[in-house]
Amino acid sequence: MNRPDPHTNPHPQVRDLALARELIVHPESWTPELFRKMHFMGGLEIHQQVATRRKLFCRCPAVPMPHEPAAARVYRHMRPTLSEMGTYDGTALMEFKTKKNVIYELIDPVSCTYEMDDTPPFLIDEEALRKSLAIALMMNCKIIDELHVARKQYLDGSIPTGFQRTAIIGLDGWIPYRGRRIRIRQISLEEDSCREVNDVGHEITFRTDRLGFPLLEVVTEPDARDPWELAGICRLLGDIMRSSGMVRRGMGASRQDVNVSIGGSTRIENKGVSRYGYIPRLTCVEALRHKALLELRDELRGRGLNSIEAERHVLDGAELGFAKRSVGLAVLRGWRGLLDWRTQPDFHFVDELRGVVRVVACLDRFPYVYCEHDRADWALPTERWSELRRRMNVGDDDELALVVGPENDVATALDEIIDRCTQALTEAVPKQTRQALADERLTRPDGRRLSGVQTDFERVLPGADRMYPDTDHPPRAVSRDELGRIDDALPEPLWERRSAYRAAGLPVDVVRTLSRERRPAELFEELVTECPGVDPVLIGVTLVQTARHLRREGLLADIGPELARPVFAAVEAGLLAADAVPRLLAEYGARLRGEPGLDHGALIEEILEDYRRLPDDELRGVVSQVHRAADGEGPREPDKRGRYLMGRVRERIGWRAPGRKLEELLAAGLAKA
Amino acid sequence: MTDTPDPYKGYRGRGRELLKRLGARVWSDCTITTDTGEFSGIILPRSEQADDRHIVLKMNTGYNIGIAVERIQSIVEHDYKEAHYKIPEQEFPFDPAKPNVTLLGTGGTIASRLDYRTGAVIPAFSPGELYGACPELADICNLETKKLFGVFSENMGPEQYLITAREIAKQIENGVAGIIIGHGTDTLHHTAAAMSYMLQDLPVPVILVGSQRSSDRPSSDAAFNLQCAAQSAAHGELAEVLVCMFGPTSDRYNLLHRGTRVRKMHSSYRSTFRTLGDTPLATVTPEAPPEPLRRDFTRRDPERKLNLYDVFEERVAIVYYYPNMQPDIIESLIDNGYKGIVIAGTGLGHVNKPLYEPLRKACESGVQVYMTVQTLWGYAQMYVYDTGRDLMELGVVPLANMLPEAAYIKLGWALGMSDDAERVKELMLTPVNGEITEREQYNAYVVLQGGLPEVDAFLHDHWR
Ligand SMILES: [Zn+2]
Repeated sequence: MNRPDPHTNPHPQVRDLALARELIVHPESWTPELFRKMHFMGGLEIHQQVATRRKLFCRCPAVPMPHEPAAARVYRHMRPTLSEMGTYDGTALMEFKTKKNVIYELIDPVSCTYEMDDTPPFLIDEEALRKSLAIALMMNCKIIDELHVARKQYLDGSIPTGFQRTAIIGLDGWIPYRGRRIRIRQISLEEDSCREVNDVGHEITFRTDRLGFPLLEVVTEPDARDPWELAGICRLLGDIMRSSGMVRRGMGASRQDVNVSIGGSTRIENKGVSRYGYIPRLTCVEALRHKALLELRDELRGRGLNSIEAERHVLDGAELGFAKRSVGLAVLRGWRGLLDWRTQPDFHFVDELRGVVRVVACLDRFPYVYCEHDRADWALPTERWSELRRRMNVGDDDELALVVGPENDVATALDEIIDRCTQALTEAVPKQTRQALADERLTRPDGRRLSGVQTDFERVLPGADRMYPDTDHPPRAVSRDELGRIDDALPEPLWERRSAYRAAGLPVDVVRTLSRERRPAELFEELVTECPGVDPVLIGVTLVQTARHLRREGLLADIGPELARPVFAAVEAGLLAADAVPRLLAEYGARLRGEPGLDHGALIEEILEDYRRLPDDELRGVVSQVHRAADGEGPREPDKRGRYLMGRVRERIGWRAPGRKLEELLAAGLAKA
Repeated sequence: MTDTPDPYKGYRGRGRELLKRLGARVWSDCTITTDTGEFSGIILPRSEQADDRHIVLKMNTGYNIGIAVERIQSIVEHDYKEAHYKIPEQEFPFDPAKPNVTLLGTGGTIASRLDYRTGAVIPAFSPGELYGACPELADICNLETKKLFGVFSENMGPEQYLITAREIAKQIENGVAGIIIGHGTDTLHHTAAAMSYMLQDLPVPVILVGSQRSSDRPSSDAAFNLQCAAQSAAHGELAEVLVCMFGPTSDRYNLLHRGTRVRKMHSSYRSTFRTLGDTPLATVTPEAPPEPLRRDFTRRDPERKLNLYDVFEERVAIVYYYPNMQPDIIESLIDNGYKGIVIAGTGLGHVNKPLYEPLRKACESGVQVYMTVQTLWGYAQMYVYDTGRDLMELGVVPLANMLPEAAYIKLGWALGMSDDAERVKELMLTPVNGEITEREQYNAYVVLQGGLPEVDAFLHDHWR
């Protein structure tokens, strides 16, 4: 089906800015304004695991087991199949060309014969469906009346069936951001794929523990106008999902793909962004790569090249110093110097070739492709190049790319090199799925560190042609009643709660935590309703800041309702001073730690009694006694004396009176004296 | 005859009414307006088993969704895009140096595409289609195909057995190097047994093959199976009726099982076919001819004269005994004129006392009654206990270690061969090709028990 990509950048290439090769090496020039001028468009695909007991299409427990050794292994291959419309998908064919042997490590306690693709799927997990529908409603989506499970083909082996079972559950939603609406294109519920363990040459290994976890895919429209907005939207979406209390957290529980285009380029999908923090830099780098590739096309046209003229030769490896390997040489007419065209901070156009060659031709030895501009210690000596140029009769205007590997793979590699160079002229920025090279992957295969997050080729961007209906599943209707029940149970939207919390005067960190963490937020709402006389700030600060402090001190893991309720009821009844609350909780935690067997309820009662607020007349009596006893003792300077007296009172009554009241009484006494 | 396709394919009741009323049809590229907004895409045919309350739309993202009929206000058709499912067809290359193989199609999912009306899988079958789907086949042999019928495995029966056997005989007459039969897997072993009895003294291999994952899936076993079957038919030395299916569930090698000793043992595993009470004959991969695991097989000999026995008596039943089975089960078979009964008895071949009387009646009225064991492995040894001796006294004949399904097919065939009770009994007790073996070797019964440390260690160290 030839339909426009919904993320089509309608803007033309902008040429009146500095050249990409200058901008790339000057990160200080990367500002929101720069990218807006380039007509940057950014969208997100967020993948978030839903917290469920079971996997989506089998009854295995949904428990990550990253360290469990494999119980057994399965060896498979993937073949492309026909699409529903009767054609083969381009990605599918490309992946088939790579002829990979796929190995699955079966992680016994969490994978069954479904993960082995030896048992058909079971019906969709209802818990996952209910929670996903709730999140789709939170993002204001139109819910699909009847869900149809589809198969999204992945021939890279990441799913043993060769396809991911997925169903759209919601469409056309929105979330508010900086006074406007960010449009949600669709939300689907799908099974998570395997985790890759190893990928060398023609063999790739996957683990099956994560496989089949319910995974929400939230796709936004390309509404971000600069890389920093993209990061902000990503963070907001993450907070909204987290605030539902229905999603899994921790390592690998959520992944973001960012879709980037600029005026004149097309959408490129960048996978594997594991942290929000990487998004702005990654996105800047990718947008500038587009700019660099557009400018490369300008350069090629400027040289009068309207098509690619290339020669391919397969040479004897031994002669060139590569024993037992074939050497492929591509002669690119008129391209002199252009493999050295800078595309990213550490990468040049030759690295674009390295990416496709590594993936498609399965070459497994870095650097895959050699050119005359290589500067690393593995670079081929200049004499070798001159000799090649002489021998192959290469003109001064021509550029050379050399690949080394097994004979068959070298032939594929030469095809890919010439294809990629052709794309430089035709599409400038070819449609691709790219991988973010971040955190642990910041080291290049040659051992050099990258200067920061950059992107590398992963595969050709798949089209709609890879979607097939799943004949193993009947459609699942979502009734109005069912939706009504889910809707009724939803918390107030995150953004509305945020403004309410702010209006109540809660500190910023408390607003943030309460708006995305379901449990403390619910407790907060309950306590505020139950104790109208207590300052909501005290409740919020206690549940967030005090709780955090006590957790760090190792005194108390959590402030739950069984503890918070009697404490705030005592404050409400005037039996407990507000400023005594943190001390009381600390004491509670300390005593419990010392004697874990204590009855929790009785302990709270007991401590509350110890902290019980003194009646005003009793308090006055204590204050005047302290005044009398301190007569002639302690510091004289008024401020110091105040603190001294306060200390003496506290010695006698602890926290059984609010500080402000004591100050008041002490001040009155000092004045008298 | 003109074939006007139904413009509302699969839709019934309210859904069909709505499409008619709004002037939309299946394959309309359209915009549907509902009370919550617009949806754009192509209207797909609907599965006939699905309800009549939703219209299925394929969106441009490739996803399908169902829209409730009651919410639809209007449908505007922009275009009409009927899909034509076709496997790219390329002429199957002919190489005079390669052996000629004929693939006979009975249905099943060797190569297939999806039918979106029923969600069913339609077999792709012409050599050109097969070549399009699995070009590697051309490296192995020259291929002709003939579609005998398109039935699901469970609908294969005597009529289909006879047609298939006769067609194989004809192909052999024409001098092919080997024959492949594409077949659904559920009753593949019944057909394999039938071919074993009907086609005796084969000069060339007859290979039955199916797939456990249809070829509309990237992980399908179909292409692998087909290539292994082609290797076996074109280059194999084993001229018998053989089932060629996955050894392990990994893409490593296939096993060649003797047609009378093979059985489907798992409802969904790739490696579902196992040889029972014996060992398989050979392994085979897509890259090379079969490698025999044993020596006692019939070798390819194009000069050998095939004997075709294309007969089958349909009034035969298999009775799976269970505790407290009542006499009326057997009586109804007698009353309905059945000529043969194969019992799958317990243990060494036993049934309860209440069945003695009807079984005596059956034997006396000329119904042939045979005993096999529902344990699948081991022999019916009815002389060991009184129960067994009593049954033999009644006229029930033990069939040694013949599998119940192989016995059922054989009895149908034997009753077709002769009306004479003694002759039938003789045919039943004389093995054609391994359905009864004289001895059971030490490794003929291996069902490894997972959970034992040594077994789990084995599973860990070998491809599953
Ligand atoms: Zn499972």
